[in-house]
Amino acid sequence: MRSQLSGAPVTLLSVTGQSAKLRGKFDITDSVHVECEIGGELNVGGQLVIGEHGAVNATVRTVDAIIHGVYEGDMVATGTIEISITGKVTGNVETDSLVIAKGGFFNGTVTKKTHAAATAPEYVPTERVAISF
Amino acid sequence: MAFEMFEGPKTTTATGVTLLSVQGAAAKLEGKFEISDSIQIECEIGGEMTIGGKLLIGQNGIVRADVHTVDAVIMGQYDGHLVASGEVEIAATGRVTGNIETDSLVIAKGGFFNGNVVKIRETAHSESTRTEPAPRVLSMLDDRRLAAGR
Repeated sequence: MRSQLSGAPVTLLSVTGQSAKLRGKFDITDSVHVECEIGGELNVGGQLVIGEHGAVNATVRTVDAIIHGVYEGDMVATGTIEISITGKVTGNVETDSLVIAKGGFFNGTVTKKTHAAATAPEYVPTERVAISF
Repeated sequence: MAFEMFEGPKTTTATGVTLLSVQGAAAKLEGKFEISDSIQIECEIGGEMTIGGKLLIGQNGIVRADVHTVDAVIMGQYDGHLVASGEVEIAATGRVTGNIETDSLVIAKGGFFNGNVVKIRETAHSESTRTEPAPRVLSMLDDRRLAAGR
């Protein structure tokens, strides 16, 4: 998103070839397009796109995610998660907006972010206990 | 210029698909990378890298990693231990600190290098002396055979 202000997005990293396997901690301010194997931890400030050949086995924090490939792990998205026809997702997803296309595969739990916030002020009864002192 | 050099072999390989592309203002990657072909870096990378083709560190690239590669072109910053079975090129804007193991090192005017260079063939030579002169004789024979064939 920051790149939109400064003009055309700059390609910070590009991997070409037949296969690639990356493992570790990735902090990306904007977007990433994955067509290879990635494991570990991903922090994306924009959009994560897992292509048809992409396989991601990682803990992800992102704004938006589009999954055409395979994803396994825990994902927190402040924006929208989209699982396409070819997408296969296993794991826990935390988001306000989840779209699964017909044919898309999802196995796991979904937690609504705003729902979690709504259930948050359950401290009220304990406060009442404090008053009874 | 060096970008064109990178573009050249990429287009010749029919299977040169983009496997990963990161876009934006900044990115920091840390970990273990295994890449069959080539990688171009314009961000920060640390850890360990194994590359089957070419490592290209762009002007904005900062790499702090132990790297095993075939070829390397460094136009940015590199810090670590680099083993290249092919060629290593430090461009005018390149800054390299650490050890390099290669048979072919080119440092452009203005390029910065601080560290040791070890020739791979020399280390192989000390381990097994007989393999060293063999390739030359073979190539001469091949030339003669070719000449005789024509």
